[in-house]
Amino acid sequence: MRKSIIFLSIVMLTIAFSSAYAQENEEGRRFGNFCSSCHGTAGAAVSDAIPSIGGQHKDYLKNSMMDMKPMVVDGKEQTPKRYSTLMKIFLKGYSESEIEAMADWYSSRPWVPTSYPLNQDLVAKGKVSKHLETCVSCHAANGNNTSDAGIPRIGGQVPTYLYNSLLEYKNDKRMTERAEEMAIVKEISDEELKALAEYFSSLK
Amino acid sequence: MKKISRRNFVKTTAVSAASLSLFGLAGCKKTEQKTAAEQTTAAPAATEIKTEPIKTGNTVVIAGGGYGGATTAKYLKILNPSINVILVDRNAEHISCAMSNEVIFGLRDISEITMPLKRLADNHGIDFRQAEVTGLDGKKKILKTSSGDIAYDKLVVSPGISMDYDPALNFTEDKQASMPHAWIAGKQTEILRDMVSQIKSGDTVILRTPVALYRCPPGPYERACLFGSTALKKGAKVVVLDPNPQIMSKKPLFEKAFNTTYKNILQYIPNTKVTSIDFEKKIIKTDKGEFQGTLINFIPDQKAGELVFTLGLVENGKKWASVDPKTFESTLIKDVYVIGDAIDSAPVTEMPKSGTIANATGKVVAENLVRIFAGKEPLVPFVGNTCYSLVNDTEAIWIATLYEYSAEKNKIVTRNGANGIPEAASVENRINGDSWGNNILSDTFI
Repeated sequence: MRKSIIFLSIVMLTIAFSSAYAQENEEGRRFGNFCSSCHGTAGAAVSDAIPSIGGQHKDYLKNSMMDMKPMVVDGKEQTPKRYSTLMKIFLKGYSESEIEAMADWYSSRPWVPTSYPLNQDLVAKGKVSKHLETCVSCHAANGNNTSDAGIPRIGGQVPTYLYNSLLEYKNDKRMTERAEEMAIVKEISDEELKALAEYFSSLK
Repeated sequence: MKKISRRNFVKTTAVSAASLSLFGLAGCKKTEQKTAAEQTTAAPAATEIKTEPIKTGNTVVIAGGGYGGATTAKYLKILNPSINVILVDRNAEHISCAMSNEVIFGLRDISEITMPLKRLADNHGIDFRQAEVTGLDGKKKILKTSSGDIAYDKLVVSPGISMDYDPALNFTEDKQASMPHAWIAGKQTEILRDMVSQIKSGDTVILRTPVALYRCPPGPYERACLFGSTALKKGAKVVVLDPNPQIMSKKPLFEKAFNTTYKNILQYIPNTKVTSIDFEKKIIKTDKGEFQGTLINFIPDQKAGELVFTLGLVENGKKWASVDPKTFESTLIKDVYVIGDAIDSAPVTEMPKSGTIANATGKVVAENLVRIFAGKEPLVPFVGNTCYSLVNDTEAIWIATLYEYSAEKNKIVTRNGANGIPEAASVENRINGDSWGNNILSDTFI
């Protein structure tokens, strides 16, 4: 009985896996093929400052790219809502539907929690931060709120990127539709934000 | 110390990268078990091929395990593990040219950019053979190597560059132990690193940059800046002799570094032709006068890696291998693809000779070979280029460009004006550049 349940589970898992990957968005893969040289193979970053994008929520990926893309209004290039260094250059070259295809493909890849060596003192400090509850209320206890795909998965994200993101919200460099909710970080010291970032990086 | 251990980390991520390719990445229906089975059968088949070439129908042989070749091999296996991928390189490991300036100036250890090809092969089920490629029979589709003939259905050649010495200068390889160019990373990188560590007050460094086209357009100017940074600390001077009319990449940003940070210690002289080198006295004679230095770093002009000449992939009188910009297939021999620095880029693309481009075009060729084996038409290239350069020990700059094949021009050109450089150098760029370096090493070689 137990054996047949295990067997059935394996069969079902296999079906789930093959159906998930059989329908790969090849267009998205093609448009985003070179992104992995900075973001890691299939979007799983091995270093600390450039985010992992493989397995990130699709809506969040799409919104992020659209927010970093310089829009042209009356022939004039506008400052994007979200600050970036070189992403704004690349995104200039893509249409919205191409961005959507890339978001679709990268979101379909496995999320690989960072294996970058973390500062355990900071992780411990983040874990007992009085602000943790606020973060968790939207991002979930494991840093992966699956009920709202516009909220990024941060559990296991690379640490320096997470910290820099918090600073961008704090310093009004990321004026996206989520900026209001993230305004909470203005009340938190940089030191504590760094600890919170390190803590969320440590989650799986 | 902590920073170095964090960086070294890129070398230890093989397991996670390998598990990725087995579970998640492969867009195909193959299961993990099947991949493992193929890996175990790969070895005996390989030895058979040595004496009697066997055609298997979807064998891709890749000559050259640098950014182009390693990426092609890895991504072929990710996209379709049933493809038989054989990677041939004369060396057991590839030492990255990208980031080798950091090694020369003591900002990275050479072990961090030394990538064993067997590790890549083991992670992805690639058949790696350390051998010298000696010839090609394009009709019978056989690559000849020092360890036997290898039959292929498709051959990818990615040999990088070789030096195009000016015979008048007599700058032969035996001179390079005491005057390393260090433009192909390896032993010379370490020799130059040791020479840099000896720079002292009152010294003069002479850096001669190569004539365009060459590997890594911003590389010579990054090196100039790092010589400048060392000279500032030690009380030395730097003379940059550039045969080109101007700085060839990221110009306003390098210019700013030359004219501000290094204003008092670095002299940049464009349009300079070197006419002779006195190796004993370390004097460089040019059409702009004589320069005597304590350390001379002469970077020679360049041409495609010797391999493409050996294999007959270069048109008479040319220095680089001609390719079709739609596919990177050689214009001279069918079913042979050339990627990376070795291609005759000027007629077919605006893309630079960079490791990132070699990585990106490797992915394009891998995708297309998988499509061709599946009976589908190949798709035209769509790639991007990024590279970071240091302007001092803590600040960096970058360039970013998106490219796509244009049927109208029959050329790979910048897409929708997506090309740019930052307004200024920054620490943020240096931190991101460090991550870029580790991620591209992993994406290519792990």
